[in-house]
Amino acid sequence: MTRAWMVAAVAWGCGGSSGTTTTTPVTVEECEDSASGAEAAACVTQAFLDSLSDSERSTAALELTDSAERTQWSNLPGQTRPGLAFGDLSDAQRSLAYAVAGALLSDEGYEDFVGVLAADDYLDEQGGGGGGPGGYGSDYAHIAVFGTPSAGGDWAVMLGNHHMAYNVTFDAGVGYPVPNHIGVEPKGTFTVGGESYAPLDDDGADMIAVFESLDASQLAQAYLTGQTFGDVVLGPVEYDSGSLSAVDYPTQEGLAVSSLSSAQQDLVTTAMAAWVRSFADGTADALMADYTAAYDQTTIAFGGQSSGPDLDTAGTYMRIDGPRVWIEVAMQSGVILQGTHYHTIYRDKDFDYGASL
Amino acid sequence: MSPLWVGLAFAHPATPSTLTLDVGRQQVAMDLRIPRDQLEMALSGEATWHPELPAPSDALVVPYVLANLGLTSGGEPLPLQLDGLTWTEVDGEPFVELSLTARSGDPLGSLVLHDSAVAERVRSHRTWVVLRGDVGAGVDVEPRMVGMVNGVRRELAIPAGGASRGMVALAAFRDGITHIAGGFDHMVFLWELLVAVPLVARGGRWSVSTEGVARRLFGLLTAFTLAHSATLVLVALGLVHVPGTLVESWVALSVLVAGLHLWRPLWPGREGLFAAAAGLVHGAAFAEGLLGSGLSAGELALPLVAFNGGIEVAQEALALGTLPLWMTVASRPALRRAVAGAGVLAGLGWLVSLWS
Repeated sequence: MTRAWMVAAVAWGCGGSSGTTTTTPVTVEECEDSASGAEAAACVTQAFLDSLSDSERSTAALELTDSAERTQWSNLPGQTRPGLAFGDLSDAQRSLAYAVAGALLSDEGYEDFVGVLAADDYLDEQGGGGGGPGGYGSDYAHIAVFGTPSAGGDWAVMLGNHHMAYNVTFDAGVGYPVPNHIGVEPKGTFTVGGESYAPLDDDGADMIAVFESLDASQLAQAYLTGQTFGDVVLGPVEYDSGSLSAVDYPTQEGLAVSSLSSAQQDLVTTAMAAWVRSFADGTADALMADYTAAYDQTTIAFGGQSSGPDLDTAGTYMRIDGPRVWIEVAMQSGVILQGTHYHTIYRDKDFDYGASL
Repeated sequence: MSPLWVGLAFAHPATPSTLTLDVGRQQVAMDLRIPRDQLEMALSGEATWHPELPAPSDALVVPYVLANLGLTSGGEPLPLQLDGLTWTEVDGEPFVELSLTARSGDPLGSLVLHDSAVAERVRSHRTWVVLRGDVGAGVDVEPRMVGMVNGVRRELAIPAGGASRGMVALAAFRDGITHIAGGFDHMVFLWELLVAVPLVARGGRWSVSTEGVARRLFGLLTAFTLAHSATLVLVALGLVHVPGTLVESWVALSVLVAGLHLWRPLWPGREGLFAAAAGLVHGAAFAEGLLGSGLSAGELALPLVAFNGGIEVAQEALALGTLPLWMTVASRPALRRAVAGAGVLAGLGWLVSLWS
């Protein structure tokens, strides 16, 4: 089976904001026959590492025990991130970095990955306003590999940029794709490099659908009274700390998912899947099974206008809170552009970083 | 400063607050910086932020912060006093900055910060807590992040406080010694003065005279010490402010000029006066980066005196410990010129690096 991302990896070997298109073919075909998602991910990641010079590899390949680096992700542009910047990669290496993302993510997830990078190129094109040290653009995205990729081993990958943090840890071949931050400015459709994108719009719609299905009394129960949200609660609070000690989950609040009709519960499942199923099936299947099996201990909640969440109102906030799953969506006012934009986070209370920090 | 602290400073929605602490023996000075939009959200009671939210007035902010901020020492709440409030901008983002002091009649016990300001309502908000100074750890400590408070975690143990007078004095004294040991420019300068001690000018040239060396050495060290102690105290207490680059430039210039003087007498017999003038400048340099602090003069007196004592002891040790060496250098014109030349070059180099 040739998955869409393998084709995409070739197509997306173009140089992002630099606009230099390349037709360099990427040889990751040998990874196609992998028996598992973890094996495919390890195979492609190893191919990426093999494409690097010794000095590039010493920057990109870190130890799994480098805890501080493993927590160096952020929603912000211009932050110190571990690994190699996409802008410093050759076209072939960059294609392989995209292929790593492709191997870790589902087709929908990969679309968001590409779209969020494109959004940063769009911000750069719109005049960006700097973005602090560094700036906006997919050239500033970083890739770092922790430990030695192997089908059944312990290792991790970080792909990070402004509005993007994929932290996928494999523990004996089992993938834990958390913490996962994804955001995008602008919200909605934009065009850059002749291509149109609207990353996260379907995810936002899936989340909104849950709350739109609620009646007045359910909505009131789901509302986080007396609280306001300028952002997600559990963004990169552990940045550079190498520890989870700053990740404080609030006491569970909101409306019990178990009290919802089965149609409404399906909407919750769809909304949850918008984040969890951004990752390859091999990673996402077990997590979705665990999260949906815990609906009797899971709540949904929102903040902002008490009349119900609205994606075009800054301060709108939505949350799915289970014994393990933690998904937040916060609508921010624009930094560069008018209107709102997405900030989201997906964590697992037990398995952030594969519980291996 | 930690990279995180710097990184979070530029404008973006939901910037965290920072609370900076200077821990003394009986008081804690605090600077709390809150992004204005987050404060507006907390004070307005509205569910979302929008540009039409009323700008919070001082009269609203002060009681709100005082009601949501506290410090306990050994479990006992300390009274908080507001020393100042300013509205400011950092990289185009508006902030309010409050300076507060928590005072205790007794030496401080174990400190716990209680802070629910903003985060009691704005649940995405967090406050980074930075320990800038701690007299128990010395006067020359690097600011460090000690933790974070947020809507869930509203208490934080502060790893400082509880130091005895002896510990405060010892830590400051030790910092004084390491300050000289690590201050290459001061050592070079002092050595240039020392090599000139056994020299007297005759006909515009140096010649060696051991007569009165002890008296001249004593005079030189006394003049330098009195002068740098004076500016150290003035600058450290915030009574005098001199820009850092200016201080460093004057220090570099003093090294250069002392080198020239050692090469060929420029003001023979007035070395004490020169030492005093240069001492004023070097004192300001010693004070740089010390407990930059909102702590009272009474709190700072002991560590400053002890720090100065450490500087003295290190200087005397250098002067006396290398006495045979500088006496020898002084008596050999080639060696003397080598030291003089090295000083001139070092001074020039520093000046160039500071201004290029």
